[in-house]
Amino acid sequence: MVELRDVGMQFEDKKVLDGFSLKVEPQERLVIMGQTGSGKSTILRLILGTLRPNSGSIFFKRFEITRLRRRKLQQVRRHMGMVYQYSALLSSRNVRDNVALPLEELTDKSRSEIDKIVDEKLDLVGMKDTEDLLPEELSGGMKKRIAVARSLVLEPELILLDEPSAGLDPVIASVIDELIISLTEKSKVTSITVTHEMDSAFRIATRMAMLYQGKVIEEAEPEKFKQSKNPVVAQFLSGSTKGPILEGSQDAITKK
Amino acid sequence: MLAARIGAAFTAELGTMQVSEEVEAIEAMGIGPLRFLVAPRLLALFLLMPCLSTVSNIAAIFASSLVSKAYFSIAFPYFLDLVKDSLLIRDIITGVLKSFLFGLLIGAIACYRGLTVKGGAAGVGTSTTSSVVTAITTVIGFDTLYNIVYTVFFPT
Repeated sequence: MVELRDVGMQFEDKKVLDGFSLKVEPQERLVIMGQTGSGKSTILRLILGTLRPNSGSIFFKRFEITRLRRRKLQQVRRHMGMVYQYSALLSSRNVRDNVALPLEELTDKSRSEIDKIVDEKLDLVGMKDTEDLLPEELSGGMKKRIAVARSLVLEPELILLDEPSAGLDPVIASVIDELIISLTEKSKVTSITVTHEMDSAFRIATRMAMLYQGKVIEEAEPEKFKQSKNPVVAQFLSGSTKGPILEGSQDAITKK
Repeated sequence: MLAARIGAAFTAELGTMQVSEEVEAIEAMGIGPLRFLVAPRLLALFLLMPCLSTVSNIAAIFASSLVSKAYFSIAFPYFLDLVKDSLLIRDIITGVLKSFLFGLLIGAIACYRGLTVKGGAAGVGTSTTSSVVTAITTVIGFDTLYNIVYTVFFPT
């Protein structure tokens, strides 16, 4: 479904991805874990094509995202849904208009068909009563659910989620996680989630990958991932202050 | 005035959308931000500017007639005769043509500055100021250039 081959990405003098490779199979729920600022969100933006890598190739189905022209890329993006960390709902439009936007702009559906789909998706995320509210009137969890509904209206084959449960209370975080699982199971959607929320990651994932210093250093099913011998993964999972992660940072600080 | 009023509003609105990832979200849906965000604004200013320009020209003539009456005791019918004598059709046409161009310029500068905002709320402020200054300077520059070309190549 998605393949990143030897991708390199640099922002000014900061190397974020360095020879990053990853393959995602159809109907998988892949969770990419990593420290804050390690480049997890960058990976999603590269798959979407809103960022171009400095090197390497990215494939979505048979399309090489890195080589597509703008118009074709826009067509390909319609098969993907993206949920941003801060939801990125259009603040000037109410919930219904936000969810309806892709349908209004990208399809020839009639008003009644659009309304029916929007109702269905809002119902799916349990947000039917909020359709007339503006994003500023919603809580963080509600915004996330609306963002999920919006990402689903075009029936995407791939859904990308950037920290879907970050900043939410444990109950709402679980609701979001279960929503993602049920969506992928019912609609046969493939999902890629980036997070550093441990509970959420293990709940969602059918496979997990650990991003460290621009590369995937561990890739396994959740149970195997938990028992990884890799010291970076072990430290990340235990949340210990002793281990290679902080030593790496210390080295980097000392080198500067 | 339009650069300060509408141009600044466009830059601030698009800039806020840019920093809150709304523009990227629109792009991620497969919707072109240029078509969805820029084109309607450009078109609005392109069509609005000549209307405003016409209204302001009429208001200017009316105000001048009041001042002429109050300070120089020029009667309204005589003032209107003077206006009719000195106002050429081509002045009206070039004025309207120029306003189309200025509308496009203000819109393009405002949208460009808005969509290239970086640096959060402070960036929106900086870009809005820059948008107004650039738009006013560009409009004055183009107006001067236009007038030079007009008077040199099409003298009365």
